[in-house]
Amino acid sequence: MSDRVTAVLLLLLAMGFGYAGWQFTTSFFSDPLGPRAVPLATAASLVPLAVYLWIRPEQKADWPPGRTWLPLGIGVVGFVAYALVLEPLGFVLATTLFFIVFSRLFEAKLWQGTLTGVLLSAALYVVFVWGLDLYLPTGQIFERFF
Amino acid sequence: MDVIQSLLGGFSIALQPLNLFLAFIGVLLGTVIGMLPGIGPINGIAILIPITFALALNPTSMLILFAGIYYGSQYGNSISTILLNVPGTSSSVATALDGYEMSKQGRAGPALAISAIASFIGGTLAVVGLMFFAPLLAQWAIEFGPAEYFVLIIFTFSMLSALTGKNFVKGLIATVFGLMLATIGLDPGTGIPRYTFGMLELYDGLDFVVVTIGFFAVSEVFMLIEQSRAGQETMQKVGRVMISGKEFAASWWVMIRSSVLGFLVGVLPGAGATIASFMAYSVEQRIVDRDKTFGAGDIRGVAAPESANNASVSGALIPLLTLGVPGSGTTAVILGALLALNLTPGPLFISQNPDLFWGLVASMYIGNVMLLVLNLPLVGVFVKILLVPRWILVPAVATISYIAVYAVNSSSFDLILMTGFGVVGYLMRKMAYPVAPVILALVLGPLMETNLRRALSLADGDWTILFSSPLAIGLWVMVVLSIALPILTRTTPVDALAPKDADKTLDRDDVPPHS
Repeated sequence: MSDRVTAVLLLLLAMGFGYAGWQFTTSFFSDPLGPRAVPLATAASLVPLAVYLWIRPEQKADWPPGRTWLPLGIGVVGFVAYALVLEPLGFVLATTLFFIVFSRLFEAKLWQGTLTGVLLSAALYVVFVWGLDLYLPTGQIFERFF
Repeated sequence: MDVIQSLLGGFSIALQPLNLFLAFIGVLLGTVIGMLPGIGPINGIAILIPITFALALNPTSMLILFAGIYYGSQYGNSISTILLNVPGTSSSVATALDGYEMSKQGRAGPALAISAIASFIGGTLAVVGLMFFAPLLAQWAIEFGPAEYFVLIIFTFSMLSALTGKNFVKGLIATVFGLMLATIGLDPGTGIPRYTFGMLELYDGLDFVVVTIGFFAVSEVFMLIEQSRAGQETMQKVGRVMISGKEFAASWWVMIRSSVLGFLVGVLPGAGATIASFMAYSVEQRIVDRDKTFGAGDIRGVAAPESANNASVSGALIPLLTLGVPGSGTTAVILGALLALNLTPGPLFISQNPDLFWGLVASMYIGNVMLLVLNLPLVGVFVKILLVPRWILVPAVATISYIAVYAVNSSSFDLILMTGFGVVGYLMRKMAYPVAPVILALVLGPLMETNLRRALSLADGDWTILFSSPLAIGLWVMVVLSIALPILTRTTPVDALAPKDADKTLDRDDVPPHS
């Protein structure tokens, strides 16, 4: 089933990719192939593969049991939220919050996650910003204090 | 002697304090990365790339560090395999067959010892091979024109697709998907934007660090979340990490043969450490297993795959350095880093950068000695790291991935992109798609297109240029064979090579993707 759904999605992808690739033309001089040949060939090569997948799907995909979808969903949302709050809240605060959520997913106690999160994010900030000279956001909400 | 002179020059570079320090850090991190299930050398190197760029390390030092992680991980991966029956990377799956059996019998110490010794022998012999064969192959590689390069890249794609997964078609789909990702950005030939949807962030193309960390590290975090309710594995006692003279003598020729085999397999495109370890195991099973003790805790069943997977690393560096065409996910990531520094490996790379090549070779001799010390007397220290609970380890890996990706462009856009690739990678892995071909295609896609267009420009659009030299025709024949054989026989080399009992281990979720 999963393979058949994927086959349809891949065919749609090939069509969309090919259609968009068809527009890549230049009015000025270009090499014999031009910018659209390789994208079109790539899209075309996906078609027989998708058809094969439809004709010969495998038994079953190895999906996790229903109850693990919730933690997985929290994981994805957690990643996106981390990306969004990193600059406003700054690295240390955002990482601590991220750590609290993720350590809970692995069944740590709240105080364990919080304590480790604070210590680890501070340590990583020191290592990467002071030690390795990388840039990490300090946080827009703290800006007026500096 | 030329080689001796060059090697002495190499040692004078590798022994500089910074390079010595980086070789040590590389093999240390490599051992830890290889040991921890879920983090492989691909992740480790991808995460370190932005950091080395920020530190403005010179290319030689960077390569010493990355190579250290690569071969160091082949030492470390056997520790968790032997003690927990959880292969640290896919290349130690074969080690589990006899290694875990030995530790269940209370012989974890000898298993760890032989694995370190076999890794050392395989690693060191293969560096000798790298040192002699890479310059030779570079001379031969001058024959490669744009047309031959194009066919060679096609061959690499078909080999990796055929060799990484259980389903060849899924490997090809992963390759095509990677090629699609590779076309995003400004067309190198004409400068028009392709598939950027008007987003300025995409004009430079997808950064391979963002894609790699998404596909490998983030998808791995999702895999681990899924398994978080599975409970912790039980660890076997280590005991004395020693082997007897008799055990060593029994394994000696096994290790030598497997090292040579592993090195040769490593040179082939697409066939990396995993294939090498499986082949060595089945070959030795045929040669020395007279009493049918393989699979029941035979020390030679640990020696064979461990020497082969280490030897394959040096082998895999040969096509990377002499042709500029990596054959595996890990070497693809290293190529990406070199290209980002405007270094293009190819036939003249070694002769134009002798310091880099010989410094790397010398550092690998030193690194293997360091690894032997780290993995024999100090293995107990590493075992402690396996006791760090998952609830610290997994969020810590995720956070460090975030730092690395943020360091590329300081943009939250990259982080969301990375998460997206993580979700795609997770879904692919659940549906049995290999993910390494995506990375290989992403890095090699632009090279493939450039060489094809250059070849056709030189020939004024005449397609027969692609079949005009014996070398090109030979490569096409190999492309056809690598596609036809798995389809006709309906079996992949992984299936054919894997020892019978390996199926159980191979089907497990917790084995990370090929690296």
